[in-house]
Amino acid sequence: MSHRRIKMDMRGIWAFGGDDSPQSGWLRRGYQDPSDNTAPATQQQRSPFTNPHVAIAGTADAFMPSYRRPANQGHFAEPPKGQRWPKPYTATIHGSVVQDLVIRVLIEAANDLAQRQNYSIDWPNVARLVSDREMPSGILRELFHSANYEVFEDGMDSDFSNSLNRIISDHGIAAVDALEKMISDDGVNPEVAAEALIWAGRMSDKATQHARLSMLERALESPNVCIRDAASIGIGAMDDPAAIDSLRKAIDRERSGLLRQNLKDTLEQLKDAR
Amino acid sequence: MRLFLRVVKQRRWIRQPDEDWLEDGELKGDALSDLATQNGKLSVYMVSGKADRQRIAVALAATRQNFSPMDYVVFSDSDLKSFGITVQHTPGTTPDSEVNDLHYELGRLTVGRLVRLATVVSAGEHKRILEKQIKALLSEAAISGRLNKAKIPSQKMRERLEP
Repeated sequence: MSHRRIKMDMRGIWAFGGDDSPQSGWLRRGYQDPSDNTAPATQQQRSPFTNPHVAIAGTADAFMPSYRRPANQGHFAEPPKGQRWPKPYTATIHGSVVQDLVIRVLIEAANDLAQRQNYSIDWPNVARLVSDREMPSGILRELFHSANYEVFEDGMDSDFSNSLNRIISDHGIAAVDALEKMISDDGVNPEVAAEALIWAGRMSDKATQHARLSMLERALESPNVCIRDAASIGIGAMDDPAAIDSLRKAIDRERSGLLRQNLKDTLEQLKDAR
Repeated sequence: MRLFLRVVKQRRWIRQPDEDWLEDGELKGDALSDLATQNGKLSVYMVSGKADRQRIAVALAATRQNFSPMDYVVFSDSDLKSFGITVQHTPGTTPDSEVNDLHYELGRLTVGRLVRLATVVSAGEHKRILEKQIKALLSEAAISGRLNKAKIPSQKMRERLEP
């Protein structure tokens, strides 16, 4: 594949600056105000990575730039005042087919670079890097991992809640599905899962409203009391009478007296909302 | 006997039936997160009636950024003295001046005393005010003037309470 054919605008992420010049290589475009495509990027630099293995790792990272701080500032930061991180490239195009294409193109470019520079590529490792960090499950996995070190206070924004809101807004139902899988995982940190459920109920994204409510209803069946409790809070925040039947069933199943009372109170709230 | 209110996360105090590693009367260590001290002191509010509880809960909710359920526990001070825990009346810092007058600090809290306090708190009366109700109560308190908007620390909450 000609490098000239893979020139793409991938705002704020690693991209292959493809041409046949000696300056070809992996470029990192700067963060750019997404409302103004003509605005110059705040930074533009050539990647220090010349090893294609690393370049591929950079590519995998490229799919989660919106939720990360610029280098040296840790993860999941808010953007500078008055700015927004750009949406991930794949969120602006249709479906995973194009996402896969982007991955393939970038891998091919790395392969070509490797051949020219007599590198070899460890393809199983590349496949692991790409598939393991596939969006949105990979983003959520990283987000949950980071959140293990975060202290959550009721009613207060957190890096975790801000990032989760953005991920669901950007990736829609696919993100909700991935979130449910994360929460159902036996190894999930219940405090983090609870925080996710509460915020999933609190956010106002219309496109995922039904999916989020369904996820919360299913979470009422969790064996973990923290997750059931958080699900009831999330359902209360959504205030949607569609959850009445699920709440009734949850009340019948619930063995914790405290939680049963909370479920009953939430049920009464939803009945009033009819 | 006095009654004190402390904001907690209720789910940290619920014991799961399958947690068979907990002996009778034991609590998970998670509960201690709700009793985080500063310089051996813990903030509580004295309550006398139901109205106090709600008003304190609303005043504390006003110190948050978002509407959210308010979990609290009300417990008696009857055993605190025998544990060596002191009780001192100090001004609170909520946007409700009357609530601030009900503020106390439990002091001389060592790790051992905290564990004993946790047992008292666990046996207290745990309550939750749902998010929707908190929202209504906060709006009402803001309109009535009970909350001093200038003392609401979060700009986000101030905006939420704009009429």
